[in-house]
Amino acid sequence: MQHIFEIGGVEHRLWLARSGEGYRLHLDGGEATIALANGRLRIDGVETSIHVAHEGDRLFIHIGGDSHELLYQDPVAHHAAGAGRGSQDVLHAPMPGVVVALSVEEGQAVKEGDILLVIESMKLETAIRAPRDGVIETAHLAVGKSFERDAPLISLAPLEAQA
Amino acid sequence: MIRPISSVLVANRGEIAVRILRSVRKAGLTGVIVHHAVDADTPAVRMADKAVPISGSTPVAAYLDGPQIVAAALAAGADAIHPGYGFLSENAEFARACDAAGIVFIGPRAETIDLMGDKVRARNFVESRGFPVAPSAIEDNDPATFVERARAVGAPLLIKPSAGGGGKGMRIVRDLALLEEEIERGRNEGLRYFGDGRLFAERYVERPRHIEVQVLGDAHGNVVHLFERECSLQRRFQKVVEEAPSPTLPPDERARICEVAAGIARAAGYVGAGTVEFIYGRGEFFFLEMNTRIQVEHPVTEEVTGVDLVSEQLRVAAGEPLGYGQNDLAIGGHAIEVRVYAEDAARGFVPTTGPLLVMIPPSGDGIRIDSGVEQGGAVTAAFDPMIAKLIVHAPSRAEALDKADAALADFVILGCRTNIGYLRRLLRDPDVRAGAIHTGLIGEKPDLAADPVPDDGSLRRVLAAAALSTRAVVDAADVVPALHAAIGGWRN
Repeated sequence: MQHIFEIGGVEHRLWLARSGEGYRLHLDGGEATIALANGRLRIDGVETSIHVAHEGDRLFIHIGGDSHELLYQDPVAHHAAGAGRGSQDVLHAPMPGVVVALSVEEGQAVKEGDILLVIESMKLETAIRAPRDGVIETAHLAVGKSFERDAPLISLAPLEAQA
Repeated sequence: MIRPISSVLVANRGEIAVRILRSVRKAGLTGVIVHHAVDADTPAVRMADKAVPISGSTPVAAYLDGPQIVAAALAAGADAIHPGYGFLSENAEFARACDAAGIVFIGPRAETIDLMGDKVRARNFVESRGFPVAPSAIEDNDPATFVERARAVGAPLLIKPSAGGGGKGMRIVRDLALLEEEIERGRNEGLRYFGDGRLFAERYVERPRHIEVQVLGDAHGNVVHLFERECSLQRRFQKVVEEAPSPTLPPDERARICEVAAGIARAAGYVGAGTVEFIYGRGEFFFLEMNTRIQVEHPVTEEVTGVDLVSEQLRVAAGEPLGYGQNDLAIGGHAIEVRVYAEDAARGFVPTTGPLLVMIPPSGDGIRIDSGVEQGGAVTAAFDPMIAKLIVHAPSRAEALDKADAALADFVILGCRTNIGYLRRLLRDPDVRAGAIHTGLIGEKPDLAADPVPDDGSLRRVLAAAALSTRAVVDAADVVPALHAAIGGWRN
């Protein structure tokens, strides 16, 4: 199965298969034999010490003196979104802030470009608009609630579920 | 006069509270800390012998509430208060309130705080004692002779509206033939922006460096300096990297600037630890201001002189004499401090917040970490987003830069974005390595702030680590048999 990780807004696709005691990693750029044990990552026989932490679908990795933040995209949600012109199902916060207005309720149908909610970040108000036509499945935060960057704000019902 | 101290209340938070408590403990004294509820679960509070909660309309307001803090000290039986930096540290009213309550304020006398806190009075005081201040001409003093007096200051000259701020109406005059023309322009801009056309002219220092000198004075009239720190790597007046000694100050200029700083402290009858800041360029230096407190960057001085400045503050506050003279002090090696912040350099250095899911500071010979947070804590928007100060000490500057880079590479912070990558790029910049630094350098190199695009090799490592650390990815691989496993009938 293909998996997608996002780094700095860029999607990277990979898949993984068992191979002996370890795994085989398949990327656009090629393949490698990899294994992870006791905080050490081995790639084609070369070991590097790594540190990893998770928070929901966010993944933080320290390796080779650099820290990286990745977002794991759930394959089911991504597939559903992919069926509808590549648009998104879950709208994530572009920066930390507070919800100042919520214009929709769960179950409501919206058109692409409709304002769903207004957030305030860094003393600036920003309208979050619907990326496609759809139905509001979940409004994750009420007015007055604060959130961190990348927190889910609104989920649209997946397209096949609305058929 | 000896005033023995047995218990010290720390009126601060975060890394400086931890730092102060370390010296309080070393001296065998009782450490008390005040804390707002948001800081209840922090290392400083756990480290103190006693902790007193304080409240306020905001967390910052609690730490600025002098009467509440004096009351906390009295209730906890503390006989001295250390204010740290920021908050109440340069508040003369607070120093007086401590005196009135019979509590030792660990800092200079209230009148010294008043004098140095008023920038115009401080400048006039320093000038009147014969120390260098930037030559200037104030129009108000005698409007009829302003142009002549400005010309006498010499080029390059900076013309500023007296009522100004934020750089509006400021003009740099490099050719005195244009002086009158530029004065008219500055006056018009001053009128337009501030409704006030009065001007002020002072010597402009091109590509200035920020050099400051640590001083210590006791209640018996002894004053020493502990050499200089260079803090020219700044972003919007916020210091980013500090080092001791200055990388390029010639020995005779070092001796002069340090002697001037000690002289200013002596003239002010300075008691305690303080810092005299100078602007320096082309062999000239001018008094900028004096900070009457311990500074964020004090550790680099401690590393090169071997003097524990907070312990000295405690001894001096108790009335003890310094017990050593200038000739007993020397610089050993080179120290560099970098401030590790929760901020996103690539997005204009906006502060970030988040949990410290993993925090593993580097350690080793010549590596010091001063931090007020730890793994399991969080960076919130309530205070300044500093996570830690990393201080390295090595025999030479080149070795100190290498050590700082290696230590930053080993500093693991997962859960919120930090400026570690930016600091590493900055310390590797050729001008920084060469010591060719000035206060405008960071602003002139915006490219250093951009996130580098990872090369294929490092991208592959990151994705391999991500794949093997993500349950759904590993599980999906584990349910599909490897080729040889399938042949062997993996279901059994």
